[in-house]
Amino acid sequence: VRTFSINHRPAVVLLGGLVAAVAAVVLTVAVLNATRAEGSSAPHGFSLLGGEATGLGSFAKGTSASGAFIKQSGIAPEDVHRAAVSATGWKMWLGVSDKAACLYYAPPGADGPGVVCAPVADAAAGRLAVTVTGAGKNPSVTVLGVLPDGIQRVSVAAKAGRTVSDVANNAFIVTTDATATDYAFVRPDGSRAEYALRVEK
Amino acid sequence: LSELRYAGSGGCSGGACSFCTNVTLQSSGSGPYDDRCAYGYFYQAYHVTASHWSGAVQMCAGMKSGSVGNGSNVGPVGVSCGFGYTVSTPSYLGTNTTGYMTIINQDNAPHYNYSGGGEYN
Repeated sequence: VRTFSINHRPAVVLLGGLVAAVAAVVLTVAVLNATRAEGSSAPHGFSLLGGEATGLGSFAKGTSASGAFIKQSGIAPEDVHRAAVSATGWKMWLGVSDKAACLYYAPPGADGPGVVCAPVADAAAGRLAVTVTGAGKNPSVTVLGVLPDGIQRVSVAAKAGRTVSDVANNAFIVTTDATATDYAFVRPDGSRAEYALRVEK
Repeated sequence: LSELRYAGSGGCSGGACSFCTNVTLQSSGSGPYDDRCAYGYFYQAYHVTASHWSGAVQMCAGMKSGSVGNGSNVGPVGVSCGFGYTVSTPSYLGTNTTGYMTIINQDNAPHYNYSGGGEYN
């Protein structure tokens, strides 16, 4: 009786290699998609922080330039990144250290920015915003904030309803009134976040 | 500059002020809304800062027309509010903002170690 012995080893190795290669490609695509969806490829989830720091330049005045603030926040005026929101006339910057995340904002006519600083984890979750209220009997209220990558729109609730605004360059600005109560947005995973706003008039 | 009402320690030197240093602000107080601490009176205030670096809370900083931190907001500095370790108004050099530097606790609980700061001409 003749028996035939066929050597299958090269075919098995080739097949195994193909499977491994396909698996690697699938895994890489999945990781890239997940990273893009969560915005986690950018520092703290903010693409705005990815480039060179712009600094505050001539706006480095007031609180932002004080030694006590720099020591507490860990953020010097030259460490911040400017968000492109010039169409509104306001200027905004974001700075993050291991101590805090700080949003800097300057209305038209101001020579130095206001600042609000929160824990980094809160900022990464979208909780870094400020209400700026002027003088007068019925003052207008400007709500400014920064949101991590992947959030397209934000809405601000007031007595008259919700005002929807696009998020650009991780930043948003909404003009509303003293009845503003919260701002809300949808995260990349589809869940909704809502944070209270307080206004002092 | 004249000091009309403030809590805790406070003082100004060279145009920079520290006021209401390490005060406790309750969840409700003498003001119409939340507990607040004021310092002044100023004729040219540039900006105001409220700080609570020992923990993030909801608070405000700004210029108010009332001597106990109540009354209307005074422009252009106005009042800024937010959640965090510190909130500061924008700075307006060379403009007249008359009133009282004020910090406000807007949280629903008392908090310790608030501090206020500001600059004036």
